[in-house]
Amino acid sequence: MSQIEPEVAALLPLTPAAFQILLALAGGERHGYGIMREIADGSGGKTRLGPGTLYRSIKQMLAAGLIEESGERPDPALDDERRRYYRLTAFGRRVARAEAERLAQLVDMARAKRLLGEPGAAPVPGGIA
Amino acid sequence: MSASRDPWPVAASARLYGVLLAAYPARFRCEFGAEMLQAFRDASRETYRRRGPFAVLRLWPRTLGDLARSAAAERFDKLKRPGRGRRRQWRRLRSHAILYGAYTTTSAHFPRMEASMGRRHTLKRAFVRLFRRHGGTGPPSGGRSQPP
Repeated sequence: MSQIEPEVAALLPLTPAAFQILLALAGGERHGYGIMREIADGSGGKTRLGPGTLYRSIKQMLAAGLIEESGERPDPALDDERRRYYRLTAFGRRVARAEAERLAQLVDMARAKRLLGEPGAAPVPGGIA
Repeated sequence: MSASRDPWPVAASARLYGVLLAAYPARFRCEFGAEMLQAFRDASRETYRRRGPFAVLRLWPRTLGDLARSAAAERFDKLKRPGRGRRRQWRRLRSHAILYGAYTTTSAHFPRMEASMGRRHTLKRAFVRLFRRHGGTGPPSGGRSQPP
């Protein structure tokens, strides 16, 4: 695992909502509803972020410099209303990577304790699919 | 689709959500209120298009839980910041807590409502945790030990 910068380490662990927003924005800039949809689609509908949690997290992440506004324009797929778009900053990308590495390390530990199968193995009965 | 041409379940839901945004502190509402309403309206429209009018109604239990949780947390954050008007803020927060308590008590009588949220008692636990984190006994400083 790479050495984590102190300012990145100070923000870890991220809340699940913050990490999911960073993941959604890692694929490109999105507006609020685009982030909500990406999170719902990415989790197969199991995780749904409401507007309150989403914008509270966005406020905190803007203040921490993890994301930034990238302008306001309509989404041609939805309608002609103008929407504010957000994107990941370079710092936000480093934080997301550090959090992903931290979680991967935990998954490795769970695997070593036989709580999880090897990648590609059949899921544990009664566990999360 | 423009807001004026929305079907009535979407339009009514959006109007009600706009009113409920008053639960957030004014500054937060000014900064993000319009976007939150837009995101909620988009979600309602898509739900209506895919699953019909009753599915729009089924969005509400989860939306109310999200609103109550995030508005209470935002007001707690505001209380932590130094500034005037803390007592007034505390009084407002208490009224929101009462509303939230009423919501969770009511929802306990409607197991299907809880089940539709998919996480039984999570809201109650989150609320108790929030209170514990902030002492849960009264205003953070300079106030009386009990809320006025």
